[in-house]
Amino acid sequence: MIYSSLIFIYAFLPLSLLVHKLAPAKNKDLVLLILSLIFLSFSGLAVLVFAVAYTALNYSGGLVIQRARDAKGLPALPLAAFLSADIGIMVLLRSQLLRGLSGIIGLHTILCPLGLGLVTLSAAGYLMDIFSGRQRAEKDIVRFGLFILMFPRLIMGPVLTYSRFTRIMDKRSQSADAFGAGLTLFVKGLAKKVLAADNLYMLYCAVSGVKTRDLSALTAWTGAAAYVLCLYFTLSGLADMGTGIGRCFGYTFPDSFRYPLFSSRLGYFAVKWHIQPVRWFVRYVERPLQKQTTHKWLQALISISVCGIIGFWYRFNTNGLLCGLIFGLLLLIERHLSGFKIMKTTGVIYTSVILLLLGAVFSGNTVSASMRFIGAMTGSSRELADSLSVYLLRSYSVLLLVSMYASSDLFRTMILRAGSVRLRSVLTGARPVTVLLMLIACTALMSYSGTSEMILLRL
Amino acid sequence: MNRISNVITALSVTLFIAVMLVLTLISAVTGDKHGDTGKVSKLSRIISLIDGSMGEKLTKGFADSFSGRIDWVAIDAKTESALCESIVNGVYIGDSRLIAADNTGSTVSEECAHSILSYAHGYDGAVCLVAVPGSAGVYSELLPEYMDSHTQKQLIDRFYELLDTGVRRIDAYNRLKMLSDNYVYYRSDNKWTSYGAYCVYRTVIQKLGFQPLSYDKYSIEHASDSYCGDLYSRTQYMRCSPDLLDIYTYDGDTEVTGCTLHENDGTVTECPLYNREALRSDNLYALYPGVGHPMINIRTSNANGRKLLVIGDDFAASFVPFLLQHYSEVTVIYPEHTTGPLSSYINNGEYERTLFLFGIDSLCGGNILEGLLDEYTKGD
Repeated sequence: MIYSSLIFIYAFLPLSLLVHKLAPAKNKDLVLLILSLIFLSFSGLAVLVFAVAYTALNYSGGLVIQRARDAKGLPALPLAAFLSADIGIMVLLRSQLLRGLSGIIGLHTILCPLGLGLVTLSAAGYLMDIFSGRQRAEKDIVRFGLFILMFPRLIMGPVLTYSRFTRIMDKRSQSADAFGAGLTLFVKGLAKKVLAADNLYMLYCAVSGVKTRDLSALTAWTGAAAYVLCLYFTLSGLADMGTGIGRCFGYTFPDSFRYPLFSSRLGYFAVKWHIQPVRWFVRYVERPLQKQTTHKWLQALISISVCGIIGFWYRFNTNGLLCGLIFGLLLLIERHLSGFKIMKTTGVIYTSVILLLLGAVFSGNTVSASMRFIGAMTGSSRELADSLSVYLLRSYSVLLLVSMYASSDLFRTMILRAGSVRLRSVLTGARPVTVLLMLIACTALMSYSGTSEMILLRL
Repeated sequence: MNRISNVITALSVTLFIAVMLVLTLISAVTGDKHGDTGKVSKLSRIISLIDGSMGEKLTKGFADSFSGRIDWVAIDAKTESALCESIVNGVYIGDSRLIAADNTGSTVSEECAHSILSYAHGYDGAVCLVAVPGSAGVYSELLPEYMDSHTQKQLIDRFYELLDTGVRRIDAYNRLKMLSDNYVYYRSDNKWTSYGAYCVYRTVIQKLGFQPLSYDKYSIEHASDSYCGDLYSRTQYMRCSPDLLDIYTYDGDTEVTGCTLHENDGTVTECPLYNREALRSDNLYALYPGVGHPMINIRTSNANGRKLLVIGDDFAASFVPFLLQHYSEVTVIYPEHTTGPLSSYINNGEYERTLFLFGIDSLCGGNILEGLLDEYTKGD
């Protein structure tokens, strides 16, 4: 089961909220954990068993590391062992190289509801925090189980440190206001996924299905734009849905995306894109490594490498790695050029062009295929525009324009800057109707298959 | 203001979800049960629990029972058309017709070809095969240019390559493509019309050793002018008018003397050649002989004593009436609805020829003949 399915929205979610609401306060964690296990079991008992075993592994890992630390032993040894196990499992199940092996148990196809890449970051961060003394091992298996398996966080995070997670869980507050805000966020995420991402995915598939040598430059740019927008709407849509559900249950998780596209600097994009996983890599990889050296050039090399690792973590192939490395390098160059006046006027255009080119690298399955696609973007393969590009732009212009507007922060800024109290009141007052209309439209789009499962990227 | 707006949102969305949930539950309880009625072994139930397919079935079942689903799908089509391309739930909504745009069976079933070959090798009579393109294959030029327009032709060629000379392969693609300006395919369905079936009949009957009957000798009755096919049910939206369901009657000496429907449990019932009751049901296409049943046996007044066995899908249903003038008995088996081996339905030794007639989509993906022809493939 995924969030964007009729059975989830119209059966599982309302019944879960009802059961959770009726549960005694002291048992709410346990109820939520049981609901999360039921959510997982919709993807099969194999996934459920795997998830429970994975949780038990990391729970016992935390206790073993804590014991070694308390006994002044060698906590690095169990840390290395459990981290290796976590990373090994992620590599085994996400890597194409070992697809055949993971395919024997079918987990590579049915782990969809489990954002394994994100769960691994959460678990590894927890173990490293215990090792460094920032966190004591959790003895409450129910609370720890929720840290790993809580269904509002299961698909798209957010990745949190254990201490922050427990603070959020302890500060639980339910009110009609928070519930409405949660539902609004959930429906917004649903619309991002069903209305925008799914249709952008169709546009991207239309372009990627054409042989590169037959692609005109305009078609290639359209395809790259569709990919980048689709990636953003898929990830942020799922993240918003998860955060919205969390808020409905009374838990306020942080936002994962803050309108990163159309930033005027790559640096701004970097701090607004998928905030928690990026922060995780900075906290647990970049900073500890940079502390080991005082050489500026070595620190820069580490920053670029971490960007490469993030890219690899997303795609698990050389294209992801290459995209990350290029992004890291450009980020470094940008820091030295940010003082130039021209950057102030051309910032959004420059960032957009770079992101589309990086999108072309990121989306490919091989480096050579991506290079051919970039070649098509430059017009080297064929003419600049052809009948296909005209057809696609004519068919998808409404979607592209609406998506670009929705991915920018123009609407939000408009509300914030609306001087007139009346205008602000009208915009706020129209929200319930807008939310209901979006829910109706999404329901219609899912009504045939019952779900919206087109996922561009499985974490 | 913000707080009030959130509370109103909470109330309205909760109310909407609650109403839809209650209506869906009522619809699930009171509605027709279209669920799995076939035999499901305990092992396959356990496997479906483990691999998640049970969850998928629940998701699909919930969508099927969703309150007002037909209206929801219609809204879906209009929203998609306004927002982007006119492709809704894998169907291209053209100005003149609906066309399947999802590349479902991208590869032909080698197991299916093997089943037909094994059958031919263990059978005394002649075996013929007609792989029929769907409307997406014949009207591919109406699809957006990025869609592979030659896929169905390639699939048919590929399937024919998998067979040897023991099976006579009959070309329907080129004939239908040549006549595509005529009403050879339904506008709302992937299947051919009775006229399309007649055009291919002319080729097939010659390969079976007869002269085709002239089109002028048929009287045509428009049994229904409101047929909306499978493609329409996926979109609930069409820019063109519904289709005609035609009944072709030959003004000759040969008449149908009897028809029997055979069920999987051995029940045999007399029936008319055309099931006109179906015109008052949801499935108008069940008008044609044997649709929705495992087997139909049709006897005629033709005294030549020749018998033909047809194994096919819905394409065969509107095709069979054209064969009746040439044979004293025609038996049609629909593998989609059979549960046992062929020998549990008929003795194929009594038939001088076997004609396999399938839409190419049926010959792709899984083996549609699995179970029915297993007794012929076991020895290989």
